[in-house]
Amino acid sequence: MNAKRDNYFQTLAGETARNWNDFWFTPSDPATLGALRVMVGVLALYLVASYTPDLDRYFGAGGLLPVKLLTEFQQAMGDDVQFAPPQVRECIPRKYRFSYLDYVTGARLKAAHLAGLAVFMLFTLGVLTRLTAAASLIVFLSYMHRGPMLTSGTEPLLAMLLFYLAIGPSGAAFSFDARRARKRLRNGEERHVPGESASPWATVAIRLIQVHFTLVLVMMAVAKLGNEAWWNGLGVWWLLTRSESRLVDLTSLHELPLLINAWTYAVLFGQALLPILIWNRLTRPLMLMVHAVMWLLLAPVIGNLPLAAAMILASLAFVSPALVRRLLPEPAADATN
Amino acid sequence: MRDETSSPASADERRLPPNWLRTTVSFLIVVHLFALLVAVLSNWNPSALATRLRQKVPLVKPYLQLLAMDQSYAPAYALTFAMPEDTDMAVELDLNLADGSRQSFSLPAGDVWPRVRRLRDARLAATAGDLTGETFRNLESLLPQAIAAHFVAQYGAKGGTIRCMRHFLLELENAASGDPYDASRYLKVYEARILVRGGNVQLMKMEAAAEVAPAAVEREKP
Repeated sequence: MNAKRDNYFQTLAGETARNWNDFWFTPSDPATLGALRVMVGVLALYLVASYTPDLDRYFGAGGLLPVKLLTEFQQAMGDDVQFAPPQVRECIPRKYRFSYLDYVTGARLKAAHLAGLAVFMLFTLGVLTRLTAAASLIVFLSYMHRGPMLTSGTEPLLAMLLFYLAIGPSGAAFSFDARRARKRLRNGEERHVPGESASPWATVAIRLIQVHFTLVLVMMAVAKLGNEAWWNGLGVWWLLTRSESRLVDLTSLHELPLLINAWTYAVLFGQALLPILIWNRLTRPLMLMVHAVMWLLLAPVIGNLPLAAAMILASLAFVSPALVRRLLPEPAADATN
Repeated sequence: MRDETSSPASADERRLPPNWLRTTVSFLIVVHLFALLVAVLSNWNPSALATRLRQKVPLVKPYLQLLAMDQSYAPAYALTFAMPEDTDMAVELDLNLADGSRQSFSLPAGDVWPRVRRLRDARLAATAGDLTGETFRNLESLLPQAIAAHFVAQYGAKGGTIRCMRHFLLELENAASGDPYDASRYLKVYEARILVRGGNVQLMKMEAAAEVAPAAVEREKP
């Protein structure tokens, strides 16, 4: 009996270790990571660039959000934000925050902003990607920490993606870095393009995105499943009727209440199934399409296009590198072989 | 667990990192995922255990907060709970300008391009409006005061009033006959008189029946 039990635990440990290694460390093509870098870079660049007209209005001397205000908020609220309404709970300044924007005003603030934009451009293009990926994360987090009350759901999602893109070899595909390396290869200066062939670190980064995004999906579903507004089929109506935030007025749908119920349940059950079925090879393409369509339809209703874009972008971590290569062929990508 | 997203190479082509490196990275992955789990559990209807883990496990809180991962991801992505806070909020100011005229401002303002700028102003107004009431006595004037100070400085105002207005939504059953912009659908959740003294802006909160002492910034929690 003891021998059988020992055997079972040995097998369990061995299988777990092997599956763990397969899951996290099997080398993979960094194509998905590279494509994500370009798309996340563009969205992050857009969001940070959109601060340009309001830079002084928010963060300048005499701006709407003086640094003193953040400190006062943190001191008055402490770290215990549970009693705040959920809608603003995660926009309250936290104890541990760093933003280089705290230390600059006037011309220096503008210079810092322009430098941040330059970093994002270089990151998106894949120039010195290891360096610019880390710098992009710092820049993006600085804006988040400087004005937490200005953020919506988009920013935490992009911060998450930028963090994992900085960890993995996100510059190993669709980048100037990869292009330069290929050129050196052709000239015989290097024997292979660093990082362009399958890399375990590409797998680690893409897996972290997948797991973290699944956690986001689970929480999104749990929050909706436990809420009466979504359970009674009126969730979408409460979004449609927010006249100040929506992009298009679809309140005429009140004449079709069953359609509103159906739309609500489609969102509810679509999002509840997504974190499970996205891990299945067969259902994954379907779930990715459902997810994209769902957010494309919700985007004009919630009036937050960047959030919809970030949601769709994060789900692209589940697209196989082979498909990315087919859709976005890179010149001389086979030069590594 | 294996699937096509990782495009596994054949066994002989596999270039796994050395054992010690895999062990180290695995440990870091486990620690990171543990921190994420703590963040999710402690930010959304937390248990005593989740709260304690967040407070007591060294480095978890700074790590999560610095990376902006101290999130439950529930409220932001649930989109609505049909609660009073899931309504639109606006901060309105009536300023007395130096030339004796009176000018009104609103946050968020009307048409702003790109739209994400308006979204930010709307978030700011929502935060100001949602943190009002008895529970937030010591917080509720902080953001309105900063907003008032900004507008006073920008327009050289001598005083005025600031208020947070909640716009209640139209129920489905009333959609056919109801007016979403009817005055009865707006609720003043906060109002204060703006006092400008020696360049400093103070707010004197106005209650429904009477005015009260200046909304001082207290230090203790609500």
